This record gives sequence, C-alpha cells and structure tokens, in this order.
Amino acid sequence: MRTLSRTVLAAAVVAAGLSVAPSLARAQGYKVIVNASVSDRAISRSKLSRIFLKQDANFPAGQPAAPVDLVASSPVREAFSKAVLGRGAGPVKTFWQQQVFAGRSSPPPQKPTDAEVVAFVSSTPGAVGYVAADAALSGGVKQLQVDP
Amino acid sequence: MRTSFVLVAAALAASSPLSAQDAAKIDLHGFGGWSYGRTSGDNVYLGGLPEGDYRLTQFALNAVAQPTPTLRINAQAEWMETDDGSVEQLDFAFAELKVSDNVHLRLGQVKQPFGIYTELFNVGTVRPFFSLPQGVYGTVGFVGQSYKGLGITGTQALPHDWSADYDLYAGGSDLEKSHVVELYYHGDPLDEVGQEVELQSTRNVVGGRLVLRTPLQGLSFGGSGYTGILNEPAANRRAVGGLQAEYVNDRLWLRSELAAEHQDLDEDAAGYYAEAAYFVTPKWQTALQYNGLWNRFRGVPKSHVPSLQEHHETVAGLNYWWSREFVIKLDVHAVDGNRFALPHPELLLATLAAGQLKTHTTLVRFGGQFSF
Repeated sequence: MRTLSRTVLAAAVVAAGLSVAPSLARAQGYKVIVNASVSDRAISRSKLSRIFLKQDANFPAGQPAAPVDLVASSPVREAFSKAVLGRGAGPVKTFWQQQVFAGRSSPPPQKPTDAEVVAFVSSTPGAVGYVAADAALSGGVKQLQVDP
Repeated sequence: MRTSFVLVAAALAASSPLSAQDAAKIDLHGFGGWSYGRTSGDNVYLGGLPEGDYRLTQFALNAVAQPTPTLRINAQAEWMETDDGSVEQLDFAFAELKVSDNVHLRLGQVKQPFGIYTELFNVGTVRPFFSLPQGVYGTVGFVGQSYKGLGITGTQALPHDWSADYDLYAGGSDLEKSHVVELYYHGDPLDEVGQEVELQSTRNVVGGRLVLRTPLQGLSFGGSGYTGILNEPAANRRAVGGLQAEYVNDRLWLRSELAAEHQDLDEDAAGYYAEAAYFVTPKWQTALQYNGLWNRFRGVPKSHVPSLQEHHETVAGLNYWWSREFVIKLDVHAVDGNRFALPHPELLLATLAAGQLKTHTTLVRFGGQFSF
C-alpha cells in the first residue's frame, strides 16, 4: 500500500512537472495567447521574452511576431513581466525608455483591458499577448504553451 | 532653429487628421528636468555655482515614425538653459532600414554607440544620478554624443541564451570638450572664454561596439572603440577605447566602465567609474559612485599645476521615484582635482597667481527629472 501510494505520488509529481508551464502561468494569473494563424503551439520562456523585448522578431516556426502589452498598471502585466521577462513592469518601462531615447526601438502597443488584447490578437496576424488566466477568449485566438 | 523645425514638424504631423490615413503613425516621447546646484569655494562644476544656480533646465522631444514595416525614421531635439545661456541641439535624425532580422542599416545623425550611457546622455530616468560620471562622460574628449554617417546595428542570438548586440559605423563626429585647462597650459588668453566647452570635430571616424548579454538576466559585458582624424590644422589622429560591465535587476543597479583616449602629439586621457544603486523600498533609492580621470597634455610636465590634469570624485545620491517617469534626486559630490571643477575662466589666472585655487569642491544638487 505504501509502495503504491509512493508510486501514485511520484506519478503525480512527474505529471505536474510535465505540465509545469501552463500550470505555473495559471497559478501566476495569466495565459499567453496568439493569433490563430500562428502555427506554433508552444514557446520557450526565453524566446517569448526576446519577442516581447523586440530582440527577436519571429516565432520559433519563423512567422513574424507582433507583441501587445497590457498597460503598466495591470497586475496581470506585472505577473507576466516577472515570470517571463524576469523583471517587474517598472524595470521593463525603464528598458523601453533606454530603447526609445537611444533611437533603437519602440515598445509594443498597450491595451487597457483583456478584451482589447483579445480583440487585437484576434485581428492581427502574428499577434501575441497575455490576459488574465480566467479571461474569455474569442475565435481567432488560441492559447500558447510557455515552456520553462 | 533646425531643431525647432523638427519639433514643429513632428508635432504638426502627429496632430494632423491626414496623418492617420496618409502617413505612418508618429510616436512622441520626451524627457527633461530641472535642478539647483551649489558648489563650495570659488569653483563651478556641473552647472553648480558658488552662489547657487537655479537655471539648469532641460527638455528633449523624440519622434519616431515607421512609414513601412522595414523603415523607421527617428529624430530627437533638445533644449537646455544653463548659466552660460541657452543651448539648442539636434540629438539625432536618421533613417533605419531593416535589412534582415539581425542587420539594420542606419543613415543620418545617430547617437554614438559607445559604452553604457552615451546614447542616453541626458535621460535622467534611466540612471541613479543627475549627471553621468564625469570620469568617463565628462567633457574631456572620450565620446561624441552622435556620429554623422552610416552604420549597421543588430542583435544576434547565441547558444545557451547568450546574445550579442553589435554596432559598426563610419562618418564624422562632434564632441564637447572643456578647453579651459588646455588654453591655460598653452598660454592662450582666458579673459574672453565665454562657453567653457568647445565643439571638437573628428572626421573619417570608424568605430564599433559589442555587448554580450549573458543568460543571467541583466548581466552584460562589452567593449567600444573608434578612431578618426581631428578637424584641425595638425590633423592628429584620435583613438578611443572603452570597456563596460553592467548588472541590473529590479532593486540593484551595478555599472562600471573604463575609457582611454590617445591623440597623436597632443594629449592622453584615461577615466573610469563604478556605481551602485539600490531600491530600499519600491520608491526610495540610494546610490553611490566613484569616478576618476587623468588627462596628460604633451609638453606639459605633470608637476605643472597637477590638479588641473586630474579629477577624482565620490557621489552619494538619494532618490524618490514617484514613478519610472518622474524622479526627485538629491546628489552630493565631493571632487578632488580641477580638470572639471574650476573657477570661472576669466578668474583662473588670478586665482592661480594668488595661490587660491581650491583643489577640493563640494557640489550639492537637488531637483527632478522626467520622461514620457
């Protein structure tokens, strides 16, 4: 009995490990969404970070990416920023100040609500955004798995 | 006048109803600030005066347009008020063409890619102190604020989550140089030196920068360098090199740089700084910096008023970040040496003759900086 319970526990741990990324994202309060035309189903955290910081222009399969942010005051943006970009929304704002005033790059467009992010992603080929874990999704949008 | 035109054109284009239909959307950003500065003794330093000065004010407007998916137009103009009067300058105006994901071609007047801060010279909301560390960014001749010509830039992803940012450029550059000390050593008159900095022009400039970003978020290392011919009758060659290291996370900012300059038959300089800033709370930040510089002039013995050839400075700062767009700063500078901290030029000879040159200067600076 003890052996069986250990096996079940081990299996549960392995299963939890395999699905750690989406579970982690949900636990942290956001989910990543892309335009339905994007062929990728998953992306690494570091690749997604580079796309949102405009250091990488394409999805893994090569399709051009068009990131969109929630406004800086959004708690969902803070959660996404810390988990994926490795820093809070404030430091990311400083990063964009550096890019803009050095004449290098411009930040992604910002939307005030989940619904507007979903609408933008739905209508823009290659768009990638994030919304609250419980936000409603429309047609033309699909969820993207983020691997650690 | 020219910069005013950029501002007006950008503002008009952005506000025109036609622009939304017939032209690309224009993004407008800006930065600026004001500060009060007071120095000890008779020396003037970083806009601070012995009697105190309220005039140090600055504003810049940045406009970016993307007429096509592969073409970006960037322009930035800046206005400053100091005790020397008003300064109006074009920071940059250039077109950037995306040749590939890793290669962008730039043509026009572009911020000179050198070190950590050159492209962000006067942007106060991306650094812990009002002013950049003078040991590297002082008006001694290490870097120009921009080059005029052609360049390529890009980012290359490397294995194991490393990446490299690179820049290569060629053209000409102008840099601000504090020439009072040089005039003194050459025996030139100082009575009518109005502007304490002069623009020094360099032609046939070739340069580059490489920054390696490590898998540890916020940690990077890099090197920069350029060489060119001075636009002066002697046509001396100038060569400048620098190294940089940076680690930035949500609470801690650590930065350090070294730079060295060699001008044939004229002068040599070497400078460095190290600075640390820490957010004690999300709003309050403390900061500490040490920077230094040696400047040697050909034919001038090191023993001839040595303080005019050196600069050593400790700076302590306390900042309140209302948001990432607005910060109130209090800086206290303790300076040894007179390469930058000097009496007014017209008083220098008399001060030296009387043996009253103060080699130690304290500057207290208070004010705010913003960006949007």
